[in-house]
Amino acid sequence: MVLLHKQLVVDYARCTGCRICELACSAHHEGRFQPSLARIRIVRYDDLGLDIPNVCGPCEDAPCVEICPVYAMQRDPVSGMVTVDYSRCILCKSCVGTCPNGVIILDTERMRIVKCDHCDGDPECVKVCPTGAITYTTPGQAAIKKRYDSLHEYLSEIARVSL
Amino acid sequence: MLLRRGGYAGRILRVDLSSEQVRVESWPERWVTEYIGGDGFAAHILYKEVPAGTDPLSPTNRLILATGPVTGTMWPTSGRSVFVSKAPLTGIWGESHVGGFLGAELKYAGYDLLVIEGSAERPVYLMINDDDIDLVDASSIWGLSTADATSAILRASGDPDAQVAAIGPAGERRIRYASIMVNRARAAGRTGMGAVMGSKNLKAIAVRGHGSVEVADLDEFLRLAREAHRRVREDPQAQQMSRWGTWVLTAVKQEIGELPTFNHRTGVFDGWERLSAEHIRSHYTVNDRACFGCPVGCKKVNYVREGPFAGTFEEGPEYEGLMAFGSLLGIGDYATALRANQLCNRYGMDVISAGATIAFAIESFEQGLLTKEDTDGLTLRWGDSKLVIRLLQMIANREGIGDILADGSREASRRLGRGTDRFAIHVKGLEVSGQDGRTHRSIGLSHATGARGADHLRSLVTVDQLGYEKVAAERWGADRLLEIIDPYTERYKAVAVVETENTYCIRDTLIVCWYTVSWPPIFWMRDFAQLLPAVTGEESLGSTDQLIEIAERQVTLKRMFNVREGITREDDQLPDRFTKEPMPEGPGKGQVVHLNPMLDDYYRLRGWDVETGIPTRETLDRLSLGWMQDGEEGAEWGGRHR
Repeated sequence: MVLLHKQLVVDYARCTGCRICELACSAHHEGRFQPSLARIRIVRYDDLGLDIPNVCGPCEDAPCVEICPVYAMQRDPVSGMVTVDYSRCILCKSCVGTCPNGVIILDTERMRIVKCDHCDGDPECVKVCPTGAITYTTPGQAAIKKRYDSLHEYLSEIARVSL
Repeated sequence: MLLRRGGYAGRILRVDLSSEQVRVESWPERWVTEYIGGDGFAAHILYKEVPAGTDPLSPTNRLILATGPVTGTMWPTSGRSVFVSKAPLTGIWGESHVGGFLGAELKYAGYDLLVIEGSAERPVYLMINDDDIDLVDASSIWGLSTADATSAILRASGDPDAQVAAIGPAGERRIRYASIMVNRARAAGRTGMGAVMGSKNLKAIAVRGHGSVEVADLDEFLRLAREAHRRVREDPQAQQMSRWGTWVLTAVKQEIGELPTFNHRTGVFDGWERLSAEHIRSHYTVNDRACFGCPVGCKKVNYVREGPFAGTFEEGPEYEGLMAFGSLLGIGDYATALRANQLCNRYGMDVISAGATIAFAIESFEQGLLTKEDTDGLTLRWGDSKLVIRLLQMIANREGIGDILADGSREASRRLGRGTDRFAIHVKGLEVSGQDGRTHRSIGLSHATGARGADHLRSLVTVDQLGYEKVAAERWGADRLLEIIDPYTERYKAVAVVETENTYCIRDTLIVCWYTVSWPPIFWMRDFAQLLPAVTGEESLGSTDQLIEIAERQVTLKRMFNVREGITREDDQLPDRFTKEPMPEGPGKGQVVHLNPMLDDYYRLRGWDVETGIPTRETLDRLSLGWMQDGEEGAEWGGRHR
């Protein structure tokens, strides 16, 4: 059986850089508003007028799993999600440095590695995103939905203009 | 003792540039119930620490950056902050709120407020990285534009997530309406806060915080915040704002005859369509952006593809910038407004005052009061795009006539004399924003009574004019509705202005954005009363009566700052243009503002003396502000700071 895992799919063209996702993420996981511990990062380019959401995955070969010397980073074969086994983690921080999206973080207050867990299948960032820039879906379906949405947008624009 | 309360960091960061001393202080807990935060805290500090007669550009003046308990939380639009200082443009109370990401970052770094005193010997910038505070040599970036200085500081800090507030050449040269630019394109524009930074040799403030903001009751807060986000997302007008930004206003203003044109001479402009949202978005807009925590995202990134300004790439301008560099100067061309806005952002100048001061010069020239001898041979005329760009450059460089215009329209008319004061459209030195009391009576009163001058942000009533009859009836009663929503009558306008000003005061203590509170009118006092106990744990803030009293205290405190500088009823006046020159055309044709009856009502409602406009002793006592007249100094929180 081929499994198509759900992923956080981002559309940077829709991202406004508001960072509400970072707030919701830190509130959910930490019980407070602290973007520096959010498992999602918006990289803002004020000079280019552009904002790009960085999320965990999808990594076909996850560098965090590859680099971990004690096999604390493990990929769940069913969900496809990578999780930290805290009983093995030796806080070497290799995963922090190697994550291509910069979303594995060392919490220096509680001294532990934090990373996205897709909120166990119901991601907070998706629920709060005001523009639909982050969706939780299978990557193939995201493109279909986008096309579906743009046609609707186009038709409503025609209706508006021809009023 | 660090205050442990939801929403607050509990600390003030104080930086003395003269002695290069940095201190972290706590603030008294009773400020929570007296002021809440933001504007309120800053007003208390400014009143106590900047004595009457202080030169705004002297080291004695303070520059305060303030946040509130909601800043940095998930409540919609929680990224804002405010700069407060004695204003170089007006010589009275000065404040300028700004979006972007600075306020939240300051909270995460662990400070509710930053207070800057003294003046550096050489150019410096302030780098705040949690508890590491550095004054960094800024000689290599002095003279750079706000954008280039921001890039240089971000490169040097090695952290693209730092938030930078910078001044440009205009602030360095103390242009009296110089702005502080946050995140390159978000402006603390009005009253000349950038000139205060320039006078202190402070090129920029950079902040990076890794800490958190905790609220008293997270579950209740998240419930309220999620509901608030839902209300914003589902509001049809907020959706319009997301798409069109504040540009939606151009067409509305044209329709009601209140699009300031030719230096506020008239309220209709033939070229309005090229300044309208539909035209701009379809021809120029390439991306939508938001400030911190904002679901609206009214910021637009724009690019000019052809014509004399081809290649211009910049955020903005807002409606006010469109007005100031469009209709006000008789220019029906968005590309000009975008280029002028970009220049103002880079030099670090307020678009409203810059446009209005240029309009002042053009009308004075048109009337023969200014000649080519004054202007280095330039012919000043309406509708001339190239002229506007040239004048902005001359102002920023204090070159020729630019040196006179750099001090704002009031000061320029004083220096020029010859009766040019007729064309200086300002209140208390602050140039009038893009509204007109003749077609919207309540804004006439707002302009006249605003603490910082002709202000559209502290008490502009929107529901009386833009067809929110249901909202207006809810707030002020069905029996008053007909008069409240009639833009051409003075009756009950003071009621609407006072209650609106009170709500906006609380908005400015939280601090949240103008949009979603003022327009569209989604959140109001009762929403804040629900929100504040969940954030702060202070149950008494759950009463709207209590919030109204806090707002009245804030308004009166700012008023007393101005009274101490000599402001009375005589200064709460509008330019003759609005009170004596009838609107010449459009839907409001023939209208003028009758200010005095509204002023009487306003003072009565505020508990200020009707003859003088000065708060009565009784009012001061009622608002626990009796200390202002007892000559007692602020010994209760650490006393003098040296």
